[in-house]
Amino acid sequence: MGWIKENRNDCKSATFLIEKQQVTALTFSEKIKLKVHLYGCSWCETYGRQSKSMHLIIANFFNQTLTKPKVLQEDFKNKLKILITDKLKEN
Amino acid sequence: MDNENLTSPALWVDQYADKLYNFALKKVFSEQLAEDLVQETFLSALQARANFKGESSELTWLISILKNKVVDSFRKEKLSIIDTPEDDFFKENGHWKSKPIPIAFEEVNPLEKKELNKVLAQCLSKLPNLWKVVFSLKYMDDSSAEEICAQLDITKANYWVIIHRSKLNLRACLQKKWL
Repeated sequence: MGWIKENRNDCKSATFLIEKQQVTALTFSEKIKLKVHLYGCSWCETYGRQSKSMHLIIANFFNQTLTKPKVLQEDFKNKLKILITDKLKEN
Repeated sequence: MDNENLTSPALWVDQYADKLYNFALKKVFSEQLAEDLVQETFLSALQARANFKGESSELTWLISILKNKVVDSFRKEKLSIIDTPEDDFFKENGHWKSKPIPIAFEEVNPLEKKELNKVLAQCLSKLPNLWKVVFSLKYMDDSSAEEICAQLDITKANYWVIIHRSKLNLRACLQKKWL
């Protein structure tokens, strides 16, 4: 029963499988491994729940916050213009 | 003075800089890096100008240069997948070092939602750039794992590792700041 004991302690692998499961199907043995682990591990169960919430809030964050267009600072634009003008003179 | 037609590089900044900047920002997630990439794009475009045949629009041409710059910047950073110190969350046998506190990372009202986004932005900004890019491709462009791996030139195994470690880091950071 060494496998079960090892698996029970291995939260690192379990959390990895929790993440993998959100994006792709697990193999049969991975599924068993995760199920058996979660059966006895409330800490990883917590992680799994939080991981799903994080998935949602990250998606929300990217869709809302980052779609607002931003503009470059005028200073930076002026610097760029000077740089381009200088390069044009070189050629 | 140069011919003041549309293709005069003197006008590039006014016409294209913000568009390129926003494109870069969505890919690299860092304002500083996005600025650098816009600058590099203009400089490369100046040198390649003679080869531009006008088959596509000037903006499309500039964006194709920018895309290459973005991918190059990821490649430069690729070491960080391997080089990041092993995360600090688990003991040697793989068990959690400390119990994840079962707080809910969910917004209850609009005010909290705003606050949560702020905290999340802080936590995301601490991740290595390559990891952020994985998130932005995944969530903003809805790219599949295959597309992301191809674009960033990383293996599937590395992709899982990045997602796993990012989420562990984000969880720890949210726990600290959101609790």
